[in-house]
Amino acid sequence: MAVASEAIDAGEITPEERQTGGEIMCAALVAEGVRVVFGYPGGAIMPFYDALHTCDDLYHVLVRHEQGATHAADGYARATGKVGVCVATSGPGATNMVTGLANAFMDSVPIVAITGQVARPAIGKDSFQETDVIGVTIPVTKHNILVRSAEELGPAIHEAFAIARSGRPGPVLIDVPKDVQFEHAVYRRPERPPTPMQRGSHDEDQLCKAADLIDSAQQPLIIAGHGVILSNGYEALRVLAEKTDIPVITTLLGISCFPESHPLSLGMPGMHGSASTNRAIDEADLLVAIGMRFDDRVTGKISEFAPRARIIHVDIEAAELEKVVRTEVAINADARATMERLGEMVSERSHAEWKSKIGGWKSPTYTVEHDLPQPVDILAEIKRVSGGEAILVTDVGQNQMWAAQHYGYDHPNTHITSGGLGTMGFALPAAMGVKFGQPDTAVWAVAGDGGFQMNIQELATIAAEGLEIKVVIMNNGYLGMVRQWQKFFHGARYSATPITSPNYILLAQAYGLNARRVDHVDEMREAMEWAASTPGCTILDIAIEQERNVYPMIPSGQSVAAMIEDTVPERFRTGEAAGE
Amino acid sequence: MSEATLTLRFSEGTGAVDRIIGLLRRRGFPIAGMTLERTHADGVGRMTVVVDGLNHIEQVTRHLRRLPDVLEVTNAGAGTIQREFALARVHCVPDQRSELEAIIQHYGGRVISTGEEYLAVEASGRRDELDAMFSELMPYGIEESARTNPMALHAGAPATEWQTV
Repeated sequence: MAVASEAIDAGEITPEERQTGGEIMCAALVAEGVRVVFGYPGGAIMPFYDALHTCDDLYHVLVRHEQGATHAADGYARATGKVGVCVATSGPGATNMVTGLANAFMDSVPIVAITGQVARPAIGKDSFQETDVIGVTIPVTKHNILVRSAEELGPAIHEAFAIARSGRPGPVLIDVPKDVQFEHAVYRRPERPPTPMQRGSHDEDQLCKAADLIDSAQQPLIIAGHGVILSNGYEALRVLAEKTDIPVITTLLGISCFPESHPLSLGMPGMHGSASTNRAIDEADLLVAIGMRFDDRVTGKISEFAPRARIIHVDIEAAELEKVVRTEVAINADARATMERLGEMVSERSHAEWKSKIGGWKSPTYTVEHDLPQPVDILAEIKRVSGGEAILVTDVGQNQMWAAQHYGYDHPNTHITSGGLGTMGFALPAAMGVKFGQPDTAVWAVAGDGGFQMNIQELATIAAEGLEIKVVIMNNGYLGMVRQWQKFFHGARYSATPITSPNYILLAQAYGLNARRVDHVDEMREAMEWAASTPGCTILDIAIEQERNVYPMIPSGQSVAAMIEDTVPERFRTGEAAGE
Repeated sequence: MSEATLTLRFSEGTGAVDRIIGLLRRRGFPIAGMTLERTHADGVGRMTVVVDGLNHIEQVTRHLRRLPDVLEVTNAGAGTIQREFALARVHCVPDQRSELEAIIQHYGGRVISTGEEYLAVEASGRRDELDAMFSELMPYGIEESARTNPMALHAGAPATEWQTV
């Protein structure tokens, strides 16, 4: 940006057009189309906050912990497809962001995190609230930038947005020393957005080969991941699946990219995927993997994963190809663009025999008679009272798996969760970002009693902002998923997994919110209706069976052959029926 | 495991070298050697990295290309010129000087400083050549030595490599 100072010398720009670094930060964010930022002020970021005070185009949400800001930005980004923005001060403010950055990095979510840094002369001197946040966040960001002058500030912010949203999206951190925020420079809004990084390119040979494989397969499956959602590829996926009559499996982060009521939908694979879906993978002769990365929770034991299948792998990230599985065809390109091309190239097929074979593997379903609400019923109730239109933001653990298994997502991008990192405490702050991004859609946060308490402080933010978030706590008095593993793999020694909760009704009152406790299945219907119809944030504290497990389960690192199936005692089962 | 040699060009910004090295460590590709180099272009750094894990070299390069700092990664396989550089101070009494100089000359090195009881040498060459020179100098007593990892130059380089440098 030497151009700017030359322009001043040449008399093209008057010194009055110079802005402080803080003002430039605001102007650059506005130029990127940012409307809301989630943050928490502190010493090293004060000049930015000073400029923000008079910047009418940016709405700042004061979170109660910087981790909450990162998850909120993450939720906002997932719900809108735009870049989420969070701000914190140096030192502890910045280090509190690390978990949220790691979460966004693992799940390919575009966020820009701005941190204050101690003034340039103080860097490296162990100054008050100094942390090498560039060093700390290198492994958990797509990129990070230390801004060394106010002139670099505008270009650095625009570069950060371009990197965050291009290719495989991810978090980018910008570290701005306090004196840079005070320094004056000329900011010029870029005339056009910076060129994004390449979105991959189609290799016609590979596409033809893929189309041939799809045409000739007898027992094919599509496995659709987050890439389908990120690329807005819902329609392209539907067209491809329907034309080829190939059943569609959706990974945890792919859930809601394909309607689960569609006859071709097979739901989630892997550790807690349904038995028939995992059997189908085991028997398939072709996997068309789109925008997914063969996470170990999907594959289990690699050497026994899809042993009969040839694999077509489509991913915008070249480094994901051949990372985990050997592929027949690897296409390094955008998921939607590839599906659209493939949809044109493939032939119409019918796989009736294959589909009925899969249907035959479905486990019988039954209703469980119990005084306490069943997780499956809780999700059905949420769906009923929200008309199936809600966005579910789930936490991590049993609640997350039940919500993934039982809700039946029919609308695009209505399931938001922490997949790769498995961050407990994600749901509540992420739901704030989702609500800011989709204010007209019902937002339900589903958490366990453990995860809910991890970022419980954000109830204050929700109350202050008047956010209409419906919280459901599946309360079993345990860190349920860890307890489940202790039950199966550690001799049922429940080491440190029983957990107490505060009285959530009193807690909600303290925050000025409304809560209800559900202790019996008979109370649930009315409580859900109350939650849905009561304005503002409501909290339902629902007692569930303490030792209910998530089924089926393939133990870590094993194959479908080792699957543990449901063991609900016969006496609780009624209405047993074949097929799901 | 066998070694692979990569050459990288990257934007010299805060953390760029950290990011490259950290990525190799995190992804489980041990660095067997690294040389940071200068280029003729402002703001562009170059490095030659020797990593264990020839079998995964395609994965290494793909991961490196994910870094916005990295402008280019080339697998310096066959068809590259690789050289290392060495400095050494060797114990040397006056009547040993001529025989030491003969060894050094044989390996294309040169004497850059002499003293009462030492002789300092600089040399460059292939790893095996420098290994051989050092083993011949060893009996005289190497008092101090410094040796780089290899730098690699592409013999039949793609034009883009040099247009910008």
